[in-house]
Amino acid sequence: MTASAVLYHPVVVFTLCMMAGWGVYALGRALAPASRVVGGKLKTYACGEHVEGESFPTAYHLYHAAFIFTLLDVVALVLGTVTGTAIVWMVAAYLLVGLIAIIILFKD
Amino acid sequence: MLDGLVKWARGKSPWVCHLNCGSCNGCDIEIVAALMPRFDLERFGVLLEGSPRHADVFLATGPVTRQIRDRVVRVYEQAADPKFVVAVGTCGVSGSPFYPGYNVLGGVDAAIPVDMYVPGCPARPDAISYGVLRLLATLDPKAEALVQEIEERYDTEGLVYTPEEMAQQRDQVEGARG
Repeated sequence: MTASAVLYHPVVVFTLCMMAGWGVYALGRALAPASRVVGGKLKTYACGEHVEGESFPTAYHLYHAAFIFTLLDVVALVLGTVTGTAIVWMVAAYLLVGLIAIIILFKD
Repeated sequence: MLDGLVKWARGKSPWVCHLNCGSCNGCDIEIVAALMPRFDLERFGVLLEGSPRHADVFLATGPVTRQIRDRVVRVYEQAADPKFVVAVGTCGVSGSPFYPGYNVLGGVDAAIPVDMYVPGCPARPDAISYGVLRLLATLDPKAEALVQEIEERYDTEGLVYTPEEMAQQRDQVEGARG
């Protein structure tokens, strides 16, 4: 196994990118003043007003076609990028999870 | 070296947030004029931001009343450190002429700490620019050199006040009242 093969391995590249991201974050953390949580600092900015968070149900019923497209688009991408040496059961498991997600979404 | 670099970066791009505490909008218009091409505060890297989360400097106008005080404090707390406050206009500096009112607490420093005072009714855009520049001079040596050049060429007495100078002014006024 050559050095470049090791360096360009997806896992190694991913790890290096994560370390770079953590390094940038750590540098920013070191340069920034110490975080002080005072008063309304963590509250939502609303021009100084005090607002409580509101919850509302997501309404997928208007976007059935778009939502199914998004799910199946990702599934198709996974199928299209599967290599010849991929483990079949992992691909099948992924497709099964996608199918279950669609069933749950349309259960109501 | 890192501290110097950070200080240089902060001095080169101070983003401002305009905080109207109840102004008549006279000083607000002058703040906008200071940011426009004629007086051009933006050549110092100043950008007007709509959110205090993105701001380094607050340009606060208007007197602070009992109603607005909590809101001003909340907005100030929501800005990230380090942050600075410039009180613009006589109302922001002292609350005058509304100060004796039953609901008026005073200038901006009645709610939040102020780092520079720019009096005037309204404050002139060049005075606002000079006030921001003096604030930047504490961070950026080039801004400090520019401030010194301005003070040599023009009469800048009474244009802006630091908190220490403002305290001296208030002591003199209180002393004169007897």
